[in-house]
Amino acid sequence: MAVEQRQRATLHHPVGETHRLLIPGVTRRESLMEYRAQGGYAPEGWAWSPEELRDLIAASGLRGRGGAAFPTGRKWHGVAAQPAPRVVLVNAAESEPASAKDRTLLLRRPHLVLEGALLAARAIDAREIVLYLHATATEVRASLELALRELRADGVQTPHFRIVTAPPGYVAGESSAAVRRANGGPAKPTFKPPRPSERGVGKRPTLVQNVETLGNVPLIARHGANWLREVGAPNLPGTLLVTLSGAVNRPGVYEVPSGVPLRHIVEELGGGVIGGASIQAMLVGGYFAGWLGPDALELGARLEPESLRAWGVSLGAGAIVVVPNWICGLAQAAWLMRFFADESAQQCGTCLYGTRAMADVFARLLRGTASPSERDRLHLWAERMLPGRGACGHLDGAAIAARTALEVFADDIRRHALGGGCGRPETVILPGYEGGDLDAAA
Amino acid sequence: MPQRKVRVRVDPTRCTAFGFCAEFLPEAFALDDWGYAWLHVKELPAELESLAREAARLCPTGAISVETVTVDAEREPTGTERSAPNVHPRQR
Repeated sequence: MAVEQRQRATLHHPVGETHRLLIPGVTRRESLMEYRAQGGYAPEGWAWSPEELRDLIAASGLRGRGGAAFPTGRKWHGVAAQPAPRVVLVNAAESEPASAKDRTLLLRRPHLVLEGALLAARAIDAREIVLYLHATATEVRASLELALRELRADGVQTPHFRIVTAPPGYVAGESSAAVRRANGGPAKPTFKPPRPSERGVGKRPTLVQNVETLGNVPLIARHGANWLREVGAPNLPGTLLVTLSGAVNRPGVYEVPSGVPLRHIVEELGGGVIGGASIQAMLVGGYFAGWLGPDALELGARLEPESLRAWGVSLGAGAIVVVPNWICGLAQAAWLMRFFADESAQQCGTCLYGTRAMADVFARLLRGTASPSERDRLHLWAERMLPGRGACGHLDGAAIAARTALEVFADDIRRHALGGGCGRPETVILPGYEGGDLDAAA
Repeated sequence: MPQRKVRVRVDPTRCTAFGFCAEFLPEAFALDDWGYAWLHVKELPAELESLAREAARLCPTGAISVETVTVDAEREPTGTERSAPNVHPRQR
């Protein structure tokens, strides 16, 4: 997209962290008693009928915070229109390695999320709430189990709660994978239709909702339909929890109004790049939402869907990774492609082979041994042959990672093609990197 | 005036790259670089319904599903929107 168009997409936006879900300065766990003192379970939040609740959430403009940004009220109405009994599945898996916002919310304010889940259950008349997370998330599980005990001890009447865990794996966090796991199967996505909203847990209509999305619900229920729109961008009202990592001085989870310039997050909140180095590239929405070049930051790209789309990326899980100029950028991109190949559920042939093929070409691009026809084929795969062909979005994420890497790291690719690399260390700083080979196992 | 269209879908978790579909109905199916079914149209004209259903029967894993829909004729046909492979399977 032309630079002028991108510049038009930017607006001046007030800067600063805005605390609505997170409590400023508080990092320890909030008990039920403390939550009630903060306004938790206030009667005005519970005075709505199920249909009024659904209308309220729809009017608020709340959109999902799990990656798709689907309008939440519309989703609730959709599930409520399906036959009873229905289920709420709280997706606390957070399988995106660059994201820590959901676990932060669950460790600090589990009751905010649980009240949100209970309100959602009321809104769609669900008799069961599944809490879905990775088996390795022992701290989060402990926080949730304690929260459930607190609710029971306090005499709060709730639908039946069930905790379901999944083994480690990137695709386990996908909605249909969560449902399949809750049904006793592997944590791998299924082909749609049917969608979870039609047939999910126990074959019943299931509302799968991200933790942060649910965290907004009690506040909307208490403060009304206009509350969310008081901050943030009109097309995605409210705050966003963003995870900042990579070569910044202050990595961490921050709560910001949507629409805030990326530059503000990296420089004001994140304290800028370590050593004052310049940025080579960034991930913005996590692993599946595409690479962004440094000019986006300079030219005022903002954390909201339209601005990011103009820059060829998407908001995704709001997980920002900053790659500095003193490491090899192509090595980061190549590792990310190997990650997509290793994490394929291997249910769809095109994903199994296509992600591996792309990773192999990127490994050769890194070594400067990729032929022109291989590079052409890589373009064809990433742009035409692979998008939309998997049962889930994994293949699309891989294709976006490839397409944007070819653009953002074009200079580095050229340097490596001349032989001898770019002279920078091939250290991988992407979160979740545990060492390993960029080349496929033989 | 409403038109009948044939909507074909491939379940990629079932496809095992048998390849019959692309031989039988190249109007709808091609094969990707790894031999898996690549549906290059969203809808087929009604005349191809019986062939589409035959292709679904031929698939050994039952990966192909066919349904007929009635669409508004004023709407842009979606048959040409998806990317199409450059080489006709019979030319290989």
